[in-house]
Amino acid sequence: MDLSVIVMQLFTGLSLGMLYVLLALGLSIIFGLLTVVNFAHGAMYMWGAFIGVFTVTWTGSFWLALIMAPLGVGMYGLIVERWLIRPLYGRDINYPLLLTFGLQLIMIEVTRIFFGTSDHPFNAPDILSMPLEVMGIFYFPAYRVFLIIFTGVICAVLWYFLERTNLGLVIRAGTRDPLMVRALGIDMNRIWWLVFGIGSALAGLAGILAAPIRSVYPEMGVAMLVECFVVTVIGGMGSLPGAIVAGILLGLVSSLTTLIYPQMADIVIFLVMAVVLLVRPSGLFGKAGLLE
Amino acid sequence: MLLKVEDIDTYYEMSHILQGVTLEVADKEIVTMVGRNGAGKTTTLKSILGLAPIKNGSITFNDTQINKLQTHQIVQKGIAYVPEERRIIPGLSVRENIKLALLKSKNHDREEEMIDRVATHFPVLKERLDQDGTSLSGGEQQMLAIARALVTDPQLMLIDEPSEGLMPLLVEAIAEIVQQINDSGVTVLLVEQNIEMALTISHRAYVIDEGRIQTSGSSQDILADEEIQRRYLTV
Repeated sequence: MDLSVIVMQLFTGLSLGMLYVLLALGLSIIFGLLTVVNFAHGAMYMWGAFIGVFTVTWTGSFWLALIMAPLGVGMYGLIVERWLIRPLYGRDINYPLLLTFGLQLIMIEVTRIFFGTSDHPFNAPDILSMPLEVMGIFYFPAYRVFLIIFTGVICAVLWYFLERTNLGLVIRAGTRDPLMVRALGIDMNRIWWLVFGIGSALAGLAGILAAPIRSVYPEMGVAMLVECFVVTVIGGMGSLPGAIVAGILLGLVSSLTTLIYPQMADIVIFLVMAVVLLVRPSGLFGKAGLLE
Repeated sequence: MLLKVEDIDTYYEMSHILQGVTLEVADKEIVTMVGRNGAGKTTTLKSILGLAPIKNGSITFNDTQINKLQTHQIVQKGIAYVPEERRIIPGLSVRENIKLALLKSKNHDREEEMIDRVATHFPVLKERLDQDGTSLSGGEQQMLAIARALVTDPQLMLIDEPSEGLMPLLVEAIAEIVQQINDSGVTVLLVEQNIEMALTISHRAYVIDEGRIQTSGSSQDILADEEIQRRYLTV
């Protein structure tokens, strides 16, 4: 097999992995702080893509869409947390899980009603459409290069936010001991609200970023959600470094399998999950007993 | 009265833990609650903070009713909490633990000054500012838990079992620190298993058993009363 084909495929895997990373970060930050398993995350990703399609159709600007998608989905997340999820705090963890599962179905159905069930074409902006020459040997699609770099920047910004700002400090503390954080005078309800918004915005961002390389249709988030649960389970529920490492890992594994043995492509990530769980039941970076 | 707890009932799930607890703390006092394990001491503190919401009764602080407020609002009124088992937040450095306490306090923009103040009480903490708070020894963690409350300049400090798991020399040190804090003008409501220590440093005491205040009085009198010790305090 030609080396350049393998490198190309690794590169494709990396860009897919970056989408996993963005989605898994959102899932993980929400789960880590709120212990809410957000089943609507895939539908939020889909809405991010649709907001992108909408914005580009109306204004022609991909860059505006790149802002509108996370903003729109993030605001939607704030509403969902405030009016639907907050009344369920203090109850069993299954309540928000069932609620978001139902919400996902409603979101998909609403999208079908307004936009139909077919694919919506979405092109990357012209400047990102040409192939990029690397070392004079490989030609990579510029959009995928952009996707990888952009997601890397988002991860760095998120890291800075969590490690170096006051709000980030409260979020890290609240993940470990929310009761004590309240006893230090901090309103955890507000923090949970904001974090649900941030996690949702990340899903929306992943949606618009995925739009040019994957099809945009109402069920686009369903399979993606399952894959992202696999990523968070492998990385460790609630762990952000785990989400990044596992996201990239699964992107690479899945692309390489497609190249070597395509029949396995759909199930290989579940095999990886099974092996990881056998060796480390709480995931690569997970802390044991988060749900106890 | 700085703090008035009047006839409160608190439940955990279905069990009736506090059954009409009434107590008062005057400004600048050290008041202690003594009693056996499970008597309701910690629950009383949690009720005051809104962490264990009360069913009946009322709690006032500075003549304002606080029992309908949320925990963070109660804390922001000037009540600081040094919880049982310290509850130093894992994954945060010593500095971050202190900073977290400062965020919503009136001292939020005086981080360095407050760290210097902590250093005058607990020099060892200043040497370990960048260390993970939970990597400290038990005594140091207790100091950090107290420092975390102190930097907010509270009017009232609720301190739960500060001597728990510490060796005798450190228990003495902690007792001294609580007195120093009180001398600097902070009112203290102290819950302790170490009855002798608690009654030695406090002005007044409440004896609690089975969720009810059984008796109260000056700490000296209670320390001297063998009948009270036998009935409510010995295991």
